[in-house]
Amino acid sequence: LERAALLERLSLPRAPIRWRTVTVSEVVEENAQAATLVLDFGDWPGHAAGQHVDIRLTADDGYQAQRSYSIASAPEDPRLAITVERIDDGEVSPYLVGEARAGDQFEVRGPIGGHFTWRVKDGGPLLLVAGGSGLVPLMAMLRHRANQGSDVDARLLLSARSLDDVLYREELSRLQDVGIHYTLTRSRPDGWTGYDRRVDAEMLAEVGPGPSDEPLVFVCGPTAFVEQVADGLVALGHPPDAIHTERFGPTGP
Amino acid sequence: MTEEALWLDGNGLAGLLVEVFGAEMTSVRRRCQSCGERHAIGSHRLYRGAGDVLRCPNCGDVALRIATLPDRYVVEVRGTWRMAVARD
Repeated sequence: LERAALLERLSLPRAPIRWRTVTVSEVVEENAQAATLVLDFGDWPGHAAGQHVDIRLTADDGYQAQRSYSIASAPEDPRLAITVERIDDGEVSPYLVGEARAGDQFEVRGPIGGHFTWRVKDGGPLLLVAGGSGLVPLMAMLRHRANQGSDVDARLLLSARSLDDVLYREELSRLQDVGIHYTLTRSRPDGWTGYDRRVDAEMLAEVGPGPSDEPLVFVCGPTAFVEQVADGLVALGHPPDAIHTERFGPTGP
Repeated sequence: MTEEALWLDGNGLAGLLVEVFGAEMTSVRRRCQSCGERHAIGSHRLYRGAGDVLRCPNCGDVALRIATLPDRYVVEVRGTWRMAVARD
């Protein structure tokens, strides 16, 4: 590696972090439970696919609630977007999905995180495994890959309750050079030929690439889902260090 | 719901770690004082309650505790953290 590249890889960027008031410029309903919010951040410093932002809501009495949301947009996209799934008894997502409108303002800080990220220069092959809205940061990676014209071997295994729960379905169908596999765990359309069970080692082996191809693996979803997938990957022989995980808690499919 | 389903990844603490340490910390590797394994902070287990606790993903021993008080953070760091921070 060149010295500059090596330094960039080895040293941690100074990252002053501050809350900014951000305006919602557009809300796109993805399905009954999820919406994409386009945020006007002003001078966005740029991000890597896989990073997140923190959002902080403040009530009239001063009470604050803070959550992290994955960035959905690619680094190349001039518009910063997050996709949020509504958790019915949540504190923040019921506002973001259903109530937030263009022109609304709230506090955001970011981009945040350096471990669960992928850049084209990191290479591949790439194995992406998503449970429900765990697709969001992985979609940022696929959008980044497409924008860069990368031909890195990329596979996506997506677990969802039903076809209607699959985010970005139309856009995914246009990613023709990505190996996309669905497993629908609750309901399936007539004539469904994809998987119909929870992700297991056998499914992961069929989707590939296997450990001998040394893929970079990214898994995102509810905690129990990520646990099951990570166990399956380790059982197949993928080294734990190659498996990047992002668990978002107990809720999900 | 199992107890295991309640924890997150160290990635989820990235914002608070920047507040406390002034740099992106989730890619830092830490050697556990208990089992000796090395793992990135982002792949540690995060338990959030009154305070935030990171635990070794292999053995579960405590790696970091942060209590956020009105005027300060109280931080306890365990194990060997090795990092390089860019100079301005």
